[in-house]
Amino acid sequence: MSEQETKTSHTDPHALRKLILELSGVDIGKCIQCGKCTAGCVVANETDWTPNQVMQLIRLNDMETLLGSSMFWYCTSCQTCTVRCPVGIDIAKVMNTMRLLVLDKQVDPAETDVATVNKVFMRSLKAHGRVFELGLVMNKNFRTGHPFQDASMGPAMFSKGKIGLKPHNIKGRQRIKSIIRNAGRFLKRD
Amino acid sequence: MEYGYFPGCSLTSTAKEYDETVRAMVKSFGVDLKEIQDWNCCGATPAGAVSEEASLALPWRNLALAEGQELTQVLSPCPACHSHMCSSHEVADDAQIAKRMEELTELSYSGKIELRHLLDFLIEEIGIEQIKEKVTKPLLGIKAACYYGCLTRLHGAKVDDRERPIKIQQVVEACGGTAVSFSHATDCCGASLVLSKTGTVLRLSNEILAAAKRAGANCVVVVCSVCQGNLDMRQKAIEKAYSVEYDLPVIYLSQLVLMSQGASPKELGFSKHFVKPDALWEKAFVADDTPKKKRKKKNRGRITH
Repeated sequence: MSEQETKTSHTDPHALRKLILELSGVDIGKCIQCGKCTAGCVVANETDWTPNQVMQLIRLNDMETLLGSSMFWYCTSCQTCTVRCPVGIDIAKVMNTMRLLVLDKQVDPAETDVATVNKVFMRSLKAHGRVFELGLVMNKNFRTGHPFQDASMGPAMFSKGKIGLKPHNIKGRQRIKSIIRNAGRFLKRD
Repeated sequence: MEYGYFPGCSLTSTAKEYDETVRAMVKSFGVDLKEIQDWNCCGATPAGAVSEEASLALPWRNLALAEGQELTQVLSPCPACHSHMCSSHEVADDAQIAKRMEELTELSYSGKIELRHLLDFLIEEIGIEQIKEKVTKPLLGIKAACYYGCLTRLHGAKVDDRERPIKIQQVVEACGGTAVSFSHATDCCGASLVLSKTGTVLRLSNEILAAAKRAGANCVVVVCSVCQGNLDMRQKAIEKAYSVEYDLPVIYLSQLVLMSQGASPKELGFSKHFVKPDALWEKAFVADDTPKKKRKKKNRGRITH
């Protein structure tokens, strides 16, 4: 599939835009490069490309640069860009589609910490059906190589009863496991 | 009246005081909450970033369970949980996607449950008049920075005006308090990035706290467990990182409403806060009579030639 896709991207100058449309249902072709998305974005000053530049990279069919961008890993999904877009592009949805595309293409994510937290979070859900905060934080710290991050907050969290020592296992956790295991990366759209 | 309830993971751990005060507040208005039995996590942001199908199927199970338990309305105090449930609720109308959800969860959902976030619930189901009627100790000394975060923009959440929301302010005023003019009411706090990009969250939360302080607020009122966590739990770290001092309590709207009904700091779960709201409680019921500083009018933004 990937070979075929690479071929088409060489021949079809709109391949990437069409791919995003197919996967998310969002057509970025309407983008007028006004920059409102970037003006309202709270993380754009920390990323390599800004939201409107990401739109342009899609239009330029530059898959390689796009997949390596840090923009969509920093995206907090606050939806400010989507709400303010004058031509109605769901930009936040495109950002999320990009996160899914990086995983799907098995490219190394530009911000591994964010991707690792997502992974560890889903593992916690699979095991318990709900989030087990302590396990999540410890697992995340271990995997990101910062074993003592936020450890100083631990005692206060325990004494205030804000974090439990034991996970809460729901009865239907086997079902949650199978939902996560069988769920497809993208929703099939007509 | 009986109402379905979906607390969500954070309300069972880091935001326990939110859960406790929501239950107590709703009860004070004569509504019984019935928690969805054996509910699962809605998937939060990570599910959406890993699998689109899972991000819809996880809330679908909760909706189907709620329907099976004969609930017709569901209240969620967490904006993210509410939004994810709304997204899943919407696809019930799409036969193809609904079929896929049924395959994954082995449960069917007709799409008939009415979903409400806490703020929406307070205004639409309870009503400002009833909130006013229950006030026994008006919050004359409260100067609140009403903080919505991304609540009004989230997918499916039709809670308030997206850019200029007013509903928290309406509740604060109904309880006898004042809402200050606050520039960062709908700016994002960094949300779930707190676990991976803590520095970014400290920067964003610092801007919000600074804006609240600048506006003359003596507390920030929130309706989201993540916002509260970032602004309260991380406030010490923010003060250290930016060499500032805020000492600004961040309280939930449910705590504020109960406060106006005469609840004690213990009943409000104040001991669970990192920035203690006890000093705020002392002055919450006394009007602040100090005259406002007069601001000099400046030609700000005006071009003079």
